[in-house]
Amino acid sequence: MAVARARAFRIVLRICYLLLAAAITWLLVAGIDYYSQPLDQRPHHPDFRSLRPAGTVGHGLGIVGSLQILLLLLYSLRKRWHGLAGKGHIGRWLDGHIFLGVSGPLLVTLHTSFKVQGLVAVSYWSMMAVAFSGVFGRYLYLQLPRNMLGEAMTLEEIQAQLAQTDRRLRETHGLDERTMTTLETVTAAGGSLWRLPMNNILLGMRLRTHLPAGASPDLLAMAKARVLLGRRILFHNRIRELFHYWHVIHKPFAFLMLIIMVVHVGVTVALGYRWVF
Amino acid sequence: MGVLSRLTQFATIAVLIAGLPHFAAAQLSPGKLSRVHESLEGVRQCTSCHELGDQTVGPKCLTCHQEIATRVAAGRGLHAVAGHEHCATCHVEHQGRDFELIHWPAGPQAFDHATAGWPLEGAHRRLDCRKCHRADLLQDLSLVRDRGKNPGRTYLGLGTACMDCHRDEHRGQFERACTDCHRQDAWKPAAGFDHAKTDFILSGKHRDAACDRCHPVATGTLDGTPDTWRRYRPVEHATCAACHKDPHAGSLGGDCARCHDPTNWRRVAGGAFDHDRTRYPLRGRHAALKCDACHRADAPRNSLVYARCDGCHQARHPDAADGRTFDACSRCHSVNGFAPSSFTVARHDSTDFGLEGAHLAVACSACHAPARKGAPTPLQRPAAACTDCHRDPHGGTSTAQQAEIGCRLCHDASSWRTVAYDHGRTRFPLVGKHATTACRACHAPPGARSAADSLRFRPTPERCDACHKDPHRGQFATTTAPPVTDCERCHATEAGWRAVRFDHDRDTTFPLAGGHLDVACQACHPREGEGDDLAVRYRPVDKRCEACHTVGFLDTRNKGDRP
Repeated sequence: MAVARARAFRIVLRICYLLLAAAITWLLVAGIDYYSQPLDQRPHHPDFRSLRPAGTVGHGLGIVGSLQILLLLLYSLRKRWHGLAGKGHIGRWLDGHIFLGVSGPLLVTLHTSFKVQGLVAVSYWSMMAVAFSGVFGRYLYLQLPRNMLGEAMTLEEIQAQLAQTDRRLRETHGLDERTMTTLETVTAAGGSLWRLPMNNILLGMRLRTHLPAGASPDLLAMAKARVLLGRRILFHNRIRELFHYWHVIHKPFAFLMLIIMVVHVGVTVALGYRWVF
Repeated sequence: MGVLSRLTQFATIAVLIAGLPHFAAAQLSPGKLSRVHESLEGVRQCTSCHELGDQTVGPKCLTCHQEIATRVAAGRGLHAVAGHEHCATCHVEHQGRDFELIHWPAGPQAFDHATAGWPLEGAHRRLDCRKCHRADLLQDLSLVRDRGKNPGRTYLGLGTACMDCHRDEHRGQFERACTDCHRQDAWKPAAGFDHAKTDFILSGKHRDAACDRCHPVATGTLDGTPDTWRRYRPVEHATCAACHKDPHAGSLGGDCARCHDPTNWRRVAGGAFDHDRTRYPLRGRHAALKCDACHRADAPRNSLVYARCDGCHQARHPDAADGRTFDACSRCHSVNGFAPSSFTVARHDSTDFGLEGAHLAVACSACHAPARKGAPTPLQRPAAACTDCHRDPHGGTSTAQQAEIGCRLCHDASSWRTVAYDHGRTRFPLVGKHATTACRACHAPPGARSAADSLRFRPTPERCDACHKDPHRGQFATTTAPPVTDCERCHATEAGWRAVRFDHDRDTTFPLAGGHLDVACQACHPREGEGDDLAVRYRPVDKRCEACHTVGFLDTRNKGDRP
């Protein structure tokens, strides 16, 4: 039941991403002529009335984007408020958080029509800082193995899982000690923390040169899992430390963005810009 | 999360929020205002333009822009037109200091002027905006100048009446609107003007006449400077003579239309015109002519030309002193026809050359012949000398008298052959046989063969041997060179050749005496020669006695003389 729900969530999430990509693409194509105009020429463009920040489309994008940004705060609430604790898988909350964190800034960017100035620019760049830090946080998040409940595993639990994987490689796939030693060497060749992502991407290619010819996909996948697990053990402490400091960036800018956004929205509404309402 | 992390996080948020008011105060605006609104910049002045709760800014714009507000309130101008009531729709702010608030999407020339309440028509469409929207044409300069605006940049304050921009070309002659007559495409022609609606409906040739023929340029002053304009009113048109010169000098009255058709002055209504009322009543053959025989399209317009015959007729006698006047022609010709002429022989006698004798029978053309066929016939002939007309048959051998008197010295006009000449007036009076001798006997030209060969009078030698043969074979000729024989020493013309006045005693050195008196002449002067060459020898004669007498001779002679 849980597996089916998780699968359905992934499908819905993918559909949301597709819809977002389609919407952003359509908006960019439709508005490329306007967006590519110099700023002082835009008021004379026929799409100015609709695509400017206060325009029918532009204002709507701002409202939808802002609402998404407000909505993604539910993830923080889920983590901190006991009333929501246990409501849904924390991973899916995060996936939703990330989707809204991607979609909201994109729509707000279109809302600005790529013209960022004034006080609201602080909010915008804060938003972008939060969004990009979120991408980095997501990377760090993935470097910390989690259990079925989505909770971060301890170092001992990870090491136990590594030992179990080694054992399965020897017994199930019959890897000899020399090959296992090679896997240890590849694991250690992950490089620095900054080079690690690229090395992990190229890992599959590298493993094919070290595994016996005609290695099955299962062997290849298990060997790859083993190396990644080993590397996460190597960087475990460092990543946990970075992850703590990441919050220092992510959260303050999120606060700043929210405060200025509220001011921005407040001034806008006060001056009568209520979109279609 | 550790305590350090939380502290760091808190500190970061505090710093960011602490700096926020600075940003908020300075940059709440979505962008800088344009330069003309720079003084309204600042977060505290948002409501100078913006209405709270209402995104429109128009009402507050008009609070300052009273020149617009006034026109909007009056329903005048572009800003009073529906769709243009929201200032920010066209005049977008917060686009930076250098942003131009007045934007012409396709340039000012493409502006739909009709939306301003005054559509551009005709030539106005082609004008540059500033051709009309000039400071010097503003109706109320204070509208913009008092508000510190540049009159040269505003599009306000221009009147919509023609005279607000244009000068009155008619200098107040018309009270109607310009567009009643003129189109805005072009001032000329005045397509809306209909002359038929005036007091003078154009008809006939008047339709084709240039306007300035009746409406000349008037001169005067305008605002103290010399000025010219075309005078359209008032134009006197009660009578034709107000504009047209009366070619009849008033002799036919002032109602031209009685006879003339306005479509063509030369077309005279049939039966309506009485030529007798003119200065040239039609008589004779003129009465039968069609009008256009004289009044041709190419004929001179000045009717006075008809006072002269050669206005219509070819001048046949161009050498007549006053031949071109009507009176001159009528002295010889009448309107009943050029021929016959009334110039009779008797009238010819009143000229310097009265006709007499054979001249009476000579045809006129014999003397007054044109230089060529069809050419004018000359009247004046230089007839001072006969040879002006006649050939001199004597080949210029006339005498000095003849040169002075002319042919009349010998001839008269009755007949050439009748000669009456007094030879006694010459150095050679005719006497004796000479008086009865025919003229030709002495004056026939050398080598003349017949009487048709006219006589020659000079030179005519006066010596006898010029005409006569010397029967004495030069026995009496002088010893001069050339030798001359003086016949009259012995012969006289009056008495004849044989009436010799020779006196042997007087004229010779051998006077006759004695028996010599009874001696026959031929005894001493025998005939010598033979045939036709016979001649009496008079000299030399040997005067010695023994030349005729011998001893016996004398006896013999005496005997002989005494029978």
